[in-house]
Amino acid sequence: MAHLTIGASENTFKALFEKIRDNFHFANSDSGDFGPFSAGYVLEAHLEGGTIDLRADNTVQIKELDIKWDRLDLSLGIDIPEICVGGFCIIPNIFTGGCLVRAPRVCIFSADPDISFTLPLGGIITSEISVTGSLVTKYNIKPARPAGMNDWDAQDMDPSLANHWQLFIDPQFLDVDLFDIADIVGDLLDNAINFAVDNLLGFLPGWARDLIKAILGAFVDVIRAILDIGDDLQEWISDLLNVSFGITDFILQVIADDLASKFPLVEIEDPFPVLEAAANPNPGVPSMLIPVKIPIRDLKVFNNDREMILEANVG
Amino acid sequence: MWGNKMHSKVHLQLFNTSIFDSGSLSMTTMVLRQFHASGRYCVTIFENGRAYKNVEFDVDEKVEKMQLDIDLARTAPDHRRHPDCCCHEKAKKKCLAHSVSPKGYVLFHVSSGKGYSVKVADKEGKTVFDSARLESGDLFALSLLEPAAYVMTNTVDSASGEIHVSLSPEVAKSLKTLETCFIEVTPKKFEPSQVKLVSSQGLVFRMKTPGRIVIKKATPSPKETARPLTHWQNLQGAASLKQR
Repeated sequence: MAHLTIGASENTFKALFEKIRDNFHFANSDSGDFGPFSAGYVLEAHLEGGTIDLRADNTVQIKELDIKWDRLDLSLGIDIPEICVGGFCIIPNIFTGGCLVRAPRVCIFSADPDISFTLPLGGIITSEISVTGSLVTKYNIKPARPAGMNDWDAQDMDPSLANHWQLFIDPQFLDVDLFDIADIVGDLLDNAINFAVDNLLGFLPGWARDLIKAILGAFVDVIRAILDIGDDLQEWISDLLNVSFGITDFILQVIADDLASKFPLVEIEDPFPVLEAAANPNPGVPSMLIPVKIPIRDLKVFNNDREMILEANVG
Repeated sequence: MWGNKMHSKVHLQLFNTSIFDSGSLSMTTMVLRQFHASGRYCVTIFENGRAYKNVEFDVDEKVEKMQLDIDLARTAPDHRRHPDCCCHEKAKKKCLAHSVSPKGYVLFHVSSGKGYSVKVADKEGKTVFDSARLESGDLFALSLLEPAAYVMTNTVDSASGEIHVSLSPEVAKSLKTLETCFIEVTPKKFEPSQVKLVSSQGLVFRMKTPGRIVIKKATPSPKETARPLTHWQNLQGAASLKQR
């Protein structure tokens, strides 16, 4: 039988989880060349919400954990197609109805210009993650602690170099619904393209911009075709972020690693301080009594559907 | 973020030219002549009135090619490789000239810049074509881009007429299917003397009398300048563009 047994209710466990949940912060960026276009992203996110369920099979389930995108900027860059005038028929072929002599084309740009634009997706994407795992304990020795330093000196260091038992959630299953993109993304794309064109041609007189737009036809459609977006913009963006850039893998990896080894639910100092340093009530030397600590070994954790239980031995 | 970003130049001349002259060619203007007699011809290219380059072409009955384009601003690499070959007896054997059928047309145009003209001499050195003075049978073709009212004049006999260029939202949709507009240049008269065009629509002057066609922008069309079709923002620092 264990020397020590500590029980924590599900509500206490929730409070512990919320504390570590609020520590999560993701940041990443990447870019790549995808043939007809280039793309890149910058993301920053944190976690909110989530429901905790302690289960009878000694597992913990966290559901509907929201990934809040503080920033998810998807940037796209393309070469816009040739914009040329001329090419009209100067001498028609009256026999065939074709053209015998045609005017050379004169292109407005010396080379296909490239434009880039950014879709700020952070505010229009909702993402959820669910985690099922079991509770584990780990013993943490501070790397900075010199060999031979006793536990009392380690405790007195600032920051403390005391060893700790740590309690983590070890994720076994992670389920992510990463990109639920609002319909508004279509407008966002169109606006971004028009803004980029403004940037590109802004120095030209209005009639020249009108002419270029008329030559190209619907600019937005042209660029959508270059990007090979098809009918489902949401799916296209999701594939780009999810498959091409692997954001899902990145998020899952960060959450799994951080839950399992970076953000402990609880830290228990070892040896565990029982009594603080105090003045010696008895006459004589020493004048002060050192803190009383008890060593903890064999810390184990498990749970049922009502509470989390910690058991340990002293010695 | 994008690695090698391409820098593109805009041919601003396309948007700020207000005079179009068959005797002083620029980017959207061209002259055409049919050379009926077979043989080698020597083209002297003038830039702002000063001869600066010679090129050659052959008119050959065995050739079926109906159109030979000669870019006055950028002559063919063969000629660059042998800058002295053309029109010089000693070097003619080395010269690789392009050919065209006697039934075809030689089209002189300019891919960049302005103020170009040409004189073409036959194998005896006699000038048979001068773009500064077109002859009956020659053609002058151009595109007018800016929506505006223009005055067209034949400076040889002072014939004149009007051209109105528009770009309304309705016609903008059919820009790619516009038919070329033809004007007959007859003694002291353009037929028709008033034409309505859409921006970038082809316009061809068929010379029936000697002439030099000059088209000048009269006034911008108030209707066009009052309200652009699209209201794009004028932002500073156009990303990757370098204005020419």
